[in-house]
Amino acid sequence: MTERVTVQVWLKEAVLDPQGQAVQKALTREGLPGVKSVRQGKAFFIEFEDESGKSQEDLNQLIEKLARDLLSNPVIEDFQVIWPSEPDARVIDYLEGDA
Amino acid sequence: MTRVGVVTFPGSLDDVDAARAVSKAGGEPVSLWHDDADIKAVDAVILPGGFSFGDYLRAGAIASLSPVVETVVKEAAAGLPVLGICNGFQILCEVGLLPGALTRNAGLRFVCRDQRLRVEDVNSPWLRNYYVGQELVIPVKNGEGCYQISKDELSELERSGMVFLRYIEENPNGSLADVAGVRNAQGNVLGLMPHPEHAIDVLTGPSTDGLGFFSSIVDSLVKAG
Repeated sequence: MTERVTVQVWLKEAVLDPQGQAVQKALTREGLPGVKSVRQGKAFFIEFEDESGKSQEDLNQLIEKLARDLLSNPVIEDFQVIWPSEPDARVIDYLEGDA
Repeated sequence: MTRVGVVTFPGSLDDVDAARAVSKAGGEPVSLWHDDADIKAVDAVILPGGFSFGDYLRAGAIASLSPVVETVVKEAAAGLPVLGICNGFQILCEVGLLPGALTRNAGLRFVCRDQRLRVEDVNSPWLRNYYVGQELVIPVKNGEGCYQISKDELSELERSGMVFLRYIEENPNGSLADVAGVRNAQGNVLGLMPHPEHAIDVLTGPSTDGLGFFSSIVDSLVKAG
């Protein structure tokens, strides 16, 4: 069975996000009223086939560890793991287009 | 002769200049390869500037997982002197040998210019030939040089002299407290955003102020050995 995990990463509240600030100005300029703040982050859409026999708990811990230590930097970033995730439309389009 | 390893990652740019600086300071540069855990029994290691692995994920993040860095981390704990310049500094922060992290410049622009700096601390084999309060002119060239760390940790660094180098006159990237370089508590691991290897010869740089990092390590190790 294909497992789908989404990991979202964004800068901590206390860390300056100059990209978010630039996007905020652009949104305001394009007419979105009353924009209060924008934080720019990134998302990882991960698909894997688990045939290792690892327990659900081991996998949970592993994914949490990878999200914390590899996909994000705990000094400056927060993260959220969403698992299971719905198939992401863009990933599916890409995979089908590739085949 | 003091043997100083210079690591090449895919995307390193300044490994050749760093090796040249080591030679000019009287040491013997030794090429090290990212995918080889063997650091050839060198006396010190430099992680040079550039864009290792294209800066994908975060600057320095993927390089921090390489076999050579794994060895460097182990040896650094045993006292091996390690200098990270620019991307090398980012790698040392990512792997946890130095505190803090480097993020996008506050102005969102890549900044390349000759930068005035002040030496704040010299308790390191890489800093033997400088003095506290000395002012330097060394080029900076980075897009992700904004030093970030929590307030509490920053005050701890300041208290213990670990902020060894600061931007003066103008802060090029929004770094907290104008931090340009930090060292670890022992002083053997040092990281800075400016490029001392580009300031060793007046023919090609704004000054020779950067040569001191390389002559310091050569002198420190000769005198220690």
